[in-house]
Amino acid sequence: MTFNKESRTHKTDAYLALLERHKGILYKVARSYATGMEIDDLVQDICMQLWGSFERYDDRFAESTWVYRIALNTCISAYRKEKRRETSSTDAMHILHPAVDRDQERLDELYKMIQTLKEIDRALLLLYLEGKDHKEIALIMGYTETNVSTRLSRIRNELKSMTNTLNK
Amino acid sequence: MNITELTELWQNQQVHLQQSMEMNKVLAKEVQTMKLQQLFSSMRPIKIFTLVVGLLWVVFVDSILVATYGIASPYFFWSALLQSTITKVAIGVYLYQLILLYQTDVSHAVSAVQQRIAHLTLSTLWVTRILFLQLPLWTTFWWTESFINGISPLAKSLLFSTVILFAAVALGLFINIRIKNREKPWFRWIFRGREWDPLVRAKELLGEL
Repeated sequence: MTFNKESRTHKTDAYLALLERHKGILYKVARSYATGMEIDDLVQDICMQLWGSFERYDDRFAESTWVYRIALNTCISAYRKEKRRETSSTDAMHILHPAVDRDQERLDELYKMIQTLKEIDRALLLLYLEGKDHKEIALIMGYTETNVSTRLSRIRNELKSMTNTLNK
Repeated sequence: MNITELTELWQNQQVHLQQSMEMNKVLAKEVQTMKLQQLFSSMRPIKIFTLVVGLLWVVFVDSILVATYGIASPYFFWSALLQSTITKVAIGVYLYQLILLYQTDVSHAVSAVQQRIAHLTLSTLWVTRILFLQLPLWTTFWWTESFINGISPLAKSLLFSTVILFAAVALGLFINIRIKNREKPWFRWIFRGREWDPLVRAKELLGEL
């Protein structure tokens, strides 16, 4: 019994440390797929999925690859839900509290641009902006590197024309 | 802003976020005690329930078919046999959906997981289409040879016209219940009150993948 308790405490600590290390990813992915209060809902959903999959973590992959996969799959699949968050408490929605960024306005514009893209393109652009190389993006998305490269080139062009319109 | 500036802006955000975001450990711990809502777990109970009801129905119909074999009217026999077969096909689709649900792991590659979910969502249309095929069978199962031979030619032609009408409607629905027809009035009428947005999004997502 003591062992179980210890093991659970250990798991909880490891989980909290994981959230601490990747809280930025959680927020950025959620914000790319939602607006307003729904961001908190999505962050919480991702946290729950991370907790649910925690014991099945496959250490062949980098921790961040695993976190990105879960976060992106959770956010892209969120449209399936007819009603969001009926069972959880309201307080638990606010897990992360980002402060106001000095580049907030420009970031808001960027997020708006990202949200005009289709779900899969959004995921690819997000990983590209994160500075992931084609190999890691391919691993997270399940595409070949060539496919990633082709898709990214198209998305970059799309983004370029959007920024051009904004700059005019 | 150009793309290099956007990338810089994005990456600076990371540093700033790590510093300014505060994780509420108490609330993060709360997540663990909540009933884990796997993305698709809410679909499981209703699918299992439908599967059980479908299986019970098939066992019931097949038992009657076996018990009345040789003595039941051929109209009843063939109607019930076809109805049971169509239900079995629908059960097969439900089983396929359940297997997909249990095999889906959110930590797998995004394209694989999303493809699976999209197929799963779209296969619900298949169940509806298959089940509509039963329609004409409900107009024939109660016929008996003595009843058919005993009615007037006018009543007989009315009876057969009804079967043909139901068969045409069933076949028409089977062919035309597709996402591309979702804006048509008859589609909206049949599926009124249902949530079709996920189906449409699933179709779009498959195209994107």
